[in-house]
Amino acid sequence: MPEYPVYISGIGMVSGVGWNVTEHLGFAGPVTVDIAPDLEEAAQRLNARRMVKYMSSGALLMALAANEALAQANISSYDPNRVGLYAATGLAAGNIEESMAALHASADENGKLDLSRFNREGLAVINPLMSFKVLANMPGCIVSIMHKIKGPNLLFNPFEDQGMNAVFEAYRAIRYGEAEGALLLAGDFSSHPANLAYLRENNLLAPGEVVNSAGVALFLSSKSGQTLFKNCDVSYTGEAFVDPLAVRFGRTIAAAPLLQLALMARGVDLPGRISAFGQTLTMEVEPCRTV
Amino acid sequence: MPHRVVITGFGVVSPIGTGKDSFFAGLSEGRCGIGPIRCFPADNLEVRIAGEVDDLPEEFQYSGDRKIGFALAAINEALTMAGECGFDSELLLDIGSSLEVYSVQALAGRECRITIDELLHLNADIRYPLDTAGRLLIQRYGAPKRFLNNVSACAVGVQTVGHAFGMIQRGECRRALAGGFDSMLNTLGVGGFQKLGALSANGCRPFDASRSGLVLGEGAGMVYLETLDDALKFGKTIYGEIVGYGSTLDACNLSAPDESGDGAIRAMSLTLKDAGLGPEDIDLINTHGTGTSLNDPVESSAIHKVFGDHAKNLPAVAVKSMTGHLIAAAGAMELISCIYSLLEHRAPCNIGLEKAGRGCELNHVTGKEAREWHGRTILTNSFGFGGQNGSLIIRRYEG
Repeated sequence: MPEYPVYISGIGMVSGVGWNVTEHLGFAGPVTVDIAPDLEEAAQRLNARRMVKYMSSGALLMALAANEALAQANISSYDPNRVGLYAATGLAAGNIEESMAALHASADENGKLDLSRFNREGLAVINPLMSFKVLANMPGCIVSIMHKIKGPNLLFNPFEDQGMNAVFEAYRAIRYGEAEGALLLAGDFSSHPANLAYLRENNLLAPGEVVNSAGVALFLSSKSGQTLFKNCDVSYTGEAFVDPLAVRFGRTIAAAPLLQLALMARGVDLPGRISAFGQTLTMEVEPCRTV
Repeated sequence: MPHRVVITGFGVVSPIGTGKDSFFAGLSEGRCGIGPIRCFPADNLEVRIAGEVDDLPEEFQYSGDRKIGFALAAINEALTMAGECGFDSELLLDIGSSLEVYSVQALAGRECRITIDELLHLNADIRYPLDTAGRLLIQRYGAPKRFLNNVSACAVGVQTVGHAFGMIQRGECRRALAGGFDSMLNTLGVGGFQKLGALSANGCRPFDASRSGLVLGEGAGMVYLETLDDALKFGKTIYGEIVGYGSTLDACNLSAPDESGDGAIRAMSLTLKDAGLGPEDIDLINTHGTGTSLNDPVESSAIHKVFGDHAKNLPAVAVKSMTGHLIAAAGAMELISCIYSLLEHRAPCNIGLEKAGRGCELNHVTGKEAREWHGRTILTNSFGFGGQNGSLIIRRYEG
């Protein structure tokens, strides 16, 4: 079976430390508090009002990163049916004020939650578009619509090991000729208060660790690019958790494997290895110029 | 040469029966698994019906998030049927579901005029990330080669099986457990879809003139895949062979299918090409068939475009008429219904169809019980909310 070279021809990133790749490369760190990009500014920068109303905060960051990556990748030269989409998303991040209002509206005369009231008064205060913001496949589907990407696809959720799967599957799609181009995406709004509470109370953040909400995008191609993505593998090794970027940038959770690959592709000296939940991703890149 | 990939075990949890024998009996009888919602108080919702699982053995029940118990039961059955007792470094765990559960039911009767801080504290106890079942399975059965937690909504079941098929074909792993599990039967799941106007309050009638929307169901479908060489070497029973897979995106509309049917047409065409088959080689089609006003005519038209004149003779099955829409579990549960057809020589009927709606004309399998069928190759479709499409072809193994 034929194998094809895998190039990286576009990179985008947005997180609490910057709006693009350049700002991340210039950031020395370390991040010491939980951070996230300003969502109103993110929406303005995206400039896609019709789609923004369907977007969770993670989807918004993912879409913004995709715009930066695809601006470099000349996607119009590809057959949209031969461009794949591989993405990882983080824990759902619903509207907490809306959740509070729904609960309060559902209280019985003693202040206890009455499910019958929730079905009427509680649901009444929830925005009908909620489903689009909490279904885990929606961020990837939104980006596919915005950029007319129509090829093979796989979407994963919610932690680092699933981000590793997105990286490896995008690599495989190009390597084995399933696609000519592959948009590799992650969006994780781990600084959402409900997500932070979940991560901390379940010891998924070590003492002193902080999170950084992020969106990352890479465009992989069999045709051309500035970086050759030479090798990639993922397997269950049972290794302890290792995220080489956690101290400098904060934990970006589902986006961490992509952030690491993106920075390696931009020449940052990093070990090509990340481990979480016993699964390990190894990556090797090499500068090149085929364009 | 690519490896041939066969199914040597499967497990199913569905509204018409849990476990192979009960599920197959349900398909044969044309059993309706749709009825009043009992698993949470739904009396004052506009939509009060669903396809609910009511026979899950107690040992698999998982409070808080019903779908986790379904995954555990279906994996257990698939492993047992395949004669296996655990995972190993050559096995891919390729499973998925759709919606993270935030269990409002768990708060029933508790103080709810609470502060945000109190809510955040509670949230850690009542939410279930989508990888919870996978982590429990790894605790129970040991480490796999990889764990993929797919979240491609209604396309999960077909995508996981199709992806695992490709991995085994290329020799990247030797075996896989693949499939989907889901339950949106909770206040926020049913309530949220009700608010979108996607649900029928009357019943699931795929392709019928009176169809009025989808009915949510719940359950799980898991298949054990391995190379034909291994299956023969270890003397396993072979229930079917996966021979083709295709995956596409509509890239058109978040909540409705592309009216041109382009994404569905490409998924089916790619799958035929992957299998090296022509339209005439397909003997039965398992439709996505949701019963919504938009999906059914778009899918019918796409089938006519792909299969041409053969579409008139191609029996078309719509299992959701009996089970409702199992969302992430639908594709794999319906693949198992295809195995039923291969093993039992019968095609399940569309129990909701009386008169085909405009643009929904296919060679529907109608009636109140399964019809005799003697084919060997079946194509099955799953088209996801958000525009993800997948098709698979399964064939009878004949040596």
